[in-house]
Formats: sequence, C-alpha cells, structure tokens
Amino acid sequence: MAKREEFSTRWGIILAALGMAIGAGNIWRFPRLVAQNGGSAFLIPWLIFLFLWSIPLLMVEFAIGKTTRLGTIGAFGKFMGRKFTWMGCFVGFCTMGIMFYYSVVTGWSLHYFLRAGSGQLLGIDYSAYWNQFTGSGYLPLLFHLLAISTGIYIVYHGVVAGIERANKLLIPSLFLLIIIAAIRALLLPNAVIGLNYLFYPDWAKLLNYRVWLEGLSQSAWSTGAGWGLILTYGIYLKEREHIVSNSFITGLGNCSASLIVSLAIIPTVFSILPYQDAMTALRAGNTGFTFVWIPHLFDKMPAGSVFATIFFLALFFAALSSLISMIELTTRIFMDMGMQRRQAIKLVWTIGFLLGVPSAISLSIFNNQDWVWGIGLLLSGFFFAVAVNKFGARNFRLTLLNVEHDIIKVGRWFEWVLKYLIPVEFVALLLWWFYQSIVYYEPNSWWNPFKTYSLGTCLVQWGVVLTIFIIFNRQITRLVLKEKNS
Amino acid sequence: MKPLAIIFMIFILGIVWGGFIYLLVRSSRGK
Repeated sequence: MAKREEFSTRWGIILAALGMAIGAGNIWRFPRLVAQNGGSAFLIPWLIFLFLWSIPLLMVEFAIGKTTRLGTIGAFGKFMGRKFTWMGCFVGFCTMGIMFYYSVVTGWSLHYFLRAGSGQLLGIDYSAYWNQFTGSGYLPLLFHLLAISTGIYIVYHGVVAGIERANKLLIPSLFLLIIIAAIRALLLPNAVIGLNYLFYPDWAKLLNYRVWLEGLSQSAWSTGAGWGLILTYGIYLKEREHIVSNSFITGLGNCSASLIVSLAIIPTVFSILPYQDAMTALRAGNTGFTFVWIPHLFDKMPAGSVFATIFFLALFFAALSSLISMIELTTRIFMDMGMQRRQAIKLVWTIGFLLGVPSAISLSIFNNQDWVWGIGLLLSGFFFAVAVNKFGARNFRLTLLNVEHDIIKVGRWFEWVLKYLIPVEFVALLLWWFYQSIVYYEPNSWWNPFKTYSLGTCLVQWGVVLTIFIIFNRQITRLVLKEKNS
Repeated sequence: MKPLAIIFMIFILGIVWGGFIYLLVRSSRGK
C-alpha cells in the first residue's frame, strides 16, 4: 500500500492553511466593508464572529479530515453515516463551483500584475480598459487557463513538493508585499484621515443589525471555514499535529492580513482622493474598486507603477494560494474514488477549465455563480455543525479536539457555539441575504431563476444539485467508501 | 490621530496581530 501523504512540518501546514484562508476577499472586499460599515464599529462584530463561527468550524474541519482521512464526500459518509454522504457532496460541489470562477479572478489579477509590471497599466482610462478586457472574451479566457494551469502544476506535485513548497514561498512573500504597501500608505500626506476613518469607533453603527450581519458574512467567507478546504488539508496532518492552535493561527492570521491590507488601502484612498470621491471609490463593487479605482489611485502616487505592481502581485499570490486549496479539494475527491493523483489532476484540469469558461467570458455569469455558491457556503458551514451535533458536541470536543499535546484546550463554549449559535447564525444570514435579493437586488424578479442575484436562481441551482446527490447517495457512497468498512 | 482611534487601533491590532504572533511563536516551540 502506498504511503499516506502528509505535511512534512508544522510550518508547512500553517502556511498552507493561511494560503487557503487569505484570498482575494481579504484584499478587494474587507477594506471596502470596513469603510462602508463605520470603521472600528464593523471590526467588533467581525472579530466576535471570528470566535463564534470561523475558528470553531476550522477546528471541526481539521478534526473530521484528520479522523476520516477522506475528502469532503467520503468524510461525511464515514463520519456521519452512509445516509449523509450527500451533505459532503454539497460541501465539495459548492467549493468546486467557487473554484471555477475563482480561477478567473486569479487570471484577472495575473493579467493586471503583468500589465503593471511592464508599465502598461497606469495613465489609461481604467474603466474603459476593464470593460474592454472583460468584454474581449479571449483575454480573460487565456488568463483563466494560465491561472488554473499554474494551480494544477503545483497540486500535481503532491502535498509536500507541491502545496507545501508553494505556500512556503507565496505566503511569506504575500505578507512582505502587503506590509511594504501599508508602510508606503502610512507615509503618504493625510494618511491620518484614513486611519481615523478606519479606527475611530462610531458606536451608533453597532445598533444597526446590518453591520453585525456584514461582519458575520465577512468572517464566514474570508476565513474559508465550512468550505471543506481545511478538512482536505486535515487529511494530511500528522497524528500528533495540533488542531486547536492551528485553527486559531489560521483565523487570526487571516484577520491580520485583512488589517494590513486595510492599512495599505484606506489611508491611500483618503490621502489621494477628495472625501466624496474616496467614499464613491469605497462603495464600488469588488471588481470596480480593484480594477478601476486602485490603478487610478496608484496613478496619482509617486512611484505608483512600482506599488501597482506590488498590489497586483499580492492579489495574485493571495488568489493563487486559495485556488491551490480548491484544486486539492477536488483532486482529493477523485482520489477517494480510486484514481491516482496524476489521473485525478488531469480530470480536475479539464473540468476546472471548461466549467470556468462561462464565468471568464461573461461577468453576468461570474456574478451569478459568486452569488449562488457564496451563499451556498453558509449551508456548507451549517452541515458541519449538523455533523458535530450528530456525533455529540461534547464527545467531539473531548475526544477529537482536546488532545494531550495541543497548547490550547477548548472549553465548553465550543459545544454551545456548535449546538445553538451556528444554526442561529446560519438562519439569520440566509434570511438576510434572501431578503436583500427580494428587496434590493432583484425586487421585480426575485423569483426568476435566470436573474443574476435572484432568490430563485439560488434555490433552483441548490435544489438541482441537492436532489441529484440525495437520489444517488447510495451509489456515491459505494464509490468513495468502497474499501472502507464504515 | 484622534485619541479614541489610537486606543481602538491598539486594542484591535493587539488582539489580532498579538494573538497571531504569540500563537505562531508558541506553536513553533511546541513538541
């Protein structure tokens, strides 16, 4: 029997986990959300939910991966019982759905990095260029192919020579790049306006339920908790590896990166733009802010070309390190079905490229997939809570988390969070996002499954996927657990 | 910078960066 793959060092698993967690969302979403939701007032719920959603789910994922040594599908089947394999299928499919368009984002950032590095990004009409680039069809497609091929090349080399080695380069480099960008931003004239905006607490905002729900959403999406990615990395943990402390490091490291990026972006925005323009920039969407406003900002800065290159390289590294984990999740599922890594990775390459094509050539499809599977992740997180409760939250904590050699022991709060809080958070978030769809995003056609941000499109796409997985639950279970007596 | 902003900055960065670095150091020294 072939030797089981595992991370060679603790640093290896920590850097891989940080690579999974730190992604495009830390760079293009977090600073805007902080600015839109009252600065420090937003940081409070964001930090609270780090401990009441993200870190507990990271611990759950690590533990289930380490215990079952199987990807998402097999892990749910083995851990919860064969009747529940469909839950693991949904978790895996949801993250795969994100991988398809995430490769496109990684490609965009690679393209902008290359343009900035070759001195061709600044001094142009940024909005027109963005529309021309995304509308060209072939360019986003080409860069999507380059991005997924890079990720595939890394994962092809396995856990140690591929994932671990790549993250040992990507993550320290990413931190170095964003720290350089933050130092530069803090040295700009009037950077203090941005710092005040970022850290002066507007307590009244805490009375607004939207700030709490945005904080929870950001925490849930940004750390990658409940996506099945850490479960997949958990498969490769050594027997004596720490689960609890690694989960805290991953959660806090992800938040540290988010704060460094905010220190780089918000002072720059307020230093360079007049107040009204700064607010307009920060209220733009993810892509508008990153690919239209950011080049505009760097254009007005001394040595802007250098810092634009640094920024887009950091974005590319962050996106690539997350894409790697998504590719590994998908590859691992096929390996559980009996394929060798070499065969599985070729299949993932083909599927990943082909199913990313629609998002690469149409921003409308890209946005729809981001909406459907982004919200789907909340359901994935809830499924992990169901798994723990079926096992017994107390039993889970005592037998799988509080192992002798870990430097942190989890208290009873973990049981309370998994039993009551995560289900309540899940229902609140789901209702809130559906309410947004009905009232704000698609008020006249929220039921229509062909509208980008409709409730209908979410329910139909989830419904189709869940129905297929539930109908074929027995066959899928046999496929992934065929040689395992569970 | 406003004093309250400074206090809050130290509080947030202390928890997040402090916690992260502390755990990294503790973990790398572990068995």
